[in-house]
Amino acid sequence: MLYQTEGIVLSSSDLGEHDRVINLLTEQKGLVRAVVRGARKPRSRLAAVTQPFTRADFQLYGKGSALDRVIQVSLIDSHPQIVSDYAKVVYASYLAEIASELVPEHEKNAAVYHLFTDILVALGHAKELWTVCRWGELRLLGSAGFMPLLESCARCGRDPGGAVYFSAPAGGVLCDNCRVAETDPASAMKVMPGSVKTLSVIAASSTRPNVVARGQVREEAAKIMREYVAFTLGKRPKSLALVEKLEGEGASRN
Amino acid sequence: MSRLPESIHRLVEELRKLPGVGPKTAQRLAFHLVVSGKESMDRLIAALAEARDKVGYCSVCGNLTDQDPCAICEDPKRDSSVICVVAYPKDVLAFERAGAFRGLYHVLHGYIEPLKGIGPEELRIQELLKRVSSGEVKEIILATNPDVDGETTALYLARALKPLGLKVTRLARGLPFGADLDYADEMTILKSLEARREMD
Ligand SMILES: [Zn+2]
Ligand SMILES: [Zn+2]
Repeated sequence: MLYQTEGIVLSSSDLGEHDRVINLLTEQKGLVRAVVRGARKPRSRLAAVTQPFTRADFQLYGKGSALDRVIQVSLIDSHPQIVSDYAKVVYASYLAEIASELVPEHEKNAAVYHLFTDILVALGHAKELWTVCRWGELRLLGSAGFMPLLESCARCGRDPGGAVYFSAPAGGVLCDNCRVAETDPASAMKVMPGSVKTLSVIAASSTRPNVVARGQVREEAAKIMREYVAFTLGKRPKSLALVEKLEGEGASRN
Repeated sequence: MSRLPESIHRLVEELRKLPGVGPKTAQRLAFHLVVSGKESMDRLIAALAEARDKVGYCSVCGNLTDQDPCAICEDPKRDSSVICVVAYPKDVLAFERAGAFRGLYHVLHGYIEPLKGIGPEELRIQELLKRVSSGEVKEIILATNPDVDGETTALYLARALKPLGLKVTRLARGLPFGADLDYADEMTILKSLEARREMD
């Protein structure tokens, strides 16, 4: 079956001598894995569009099993502002990895596609990459039904007050009472109210939020999200190590 | 496959691990080898053993070599003030084939690939920084592939090298974006080398 959809390349890998396989987040079919024949040949017209973060109109052919095949592509945006900046590539790779873990294959989810498009545009233009990354993490998780509860206790629904804990298994913050009652109280970490407040403001924003976090709040909010992302995906994203290194450098410079 | 003699089956399995060799090709190669005769097979075995025992990586540039330092690093006629940084030994070969470059090389053994969790520490970047700290090096040419991994690696290296006061250049875009360096023809490599630009 021949079909047409807008899509963004999340990642690509070599196949055999001349081909490439791309992992596409599409508007019409969710996640799609497709072969681009001859993409590595010297004068291939399709080489450029196999590159990560390329947004394009794809014409694909698929038999419903195994890999689809890319027939034709017309480029919409290659995101030059991202690929010309090391930190932006690292963040974009990390968010692409989260998207590819959360979005099911061959299942239409136009909302998550448009969200990811917005995330890439935001990364391209932003100075405060930290904020865009937290926003991307929260909104991507939210689009898959995993938005953490940040304003009220995930167990009893009450305002946790001054003693706030974050628990990935509970799916959000806990008050002191509920934390003690958890089967594994040690899995909840004590956090500053400012850190969850920052994340909650970022999560509520439907467009790129205008938030700048500093110092301990910045470090802790990032740590909360790292734990929550790893717990939700069931594994640590591979690109996380490079994100941590970037954010570590940033912290020591501030 | 089960009707193949066990020893041929094992040979087929080993050959299949080679790049670009599918099951059919592996079987054809295996049959060709066993019928080619003892003498011809002995030569292949000897060549394999010699490669295994003698070939290693140059301790200076990281290129494949059977002497250490390698012939390029040891050549007094080469310009030691310019280092061309490439990802793989096959890229050194592409430049040497084009025959236009008279400086030295540095092989990184990969690209920074966030999605595979490959960061700067996994590459021979510390070795490069140590090499340039001697003060003899004046220019670094970043000859990584013209694709996202290649650009990302080049951006990282430029950031690390610039503070050392070196001239850092990047191959010109004579190569199409997304292309593989070692598939490029000699003329394209020559042109992109000549028209290299300084990174900012
Ligand atoms: Zn509670
Ligand atoms: Zn050498």
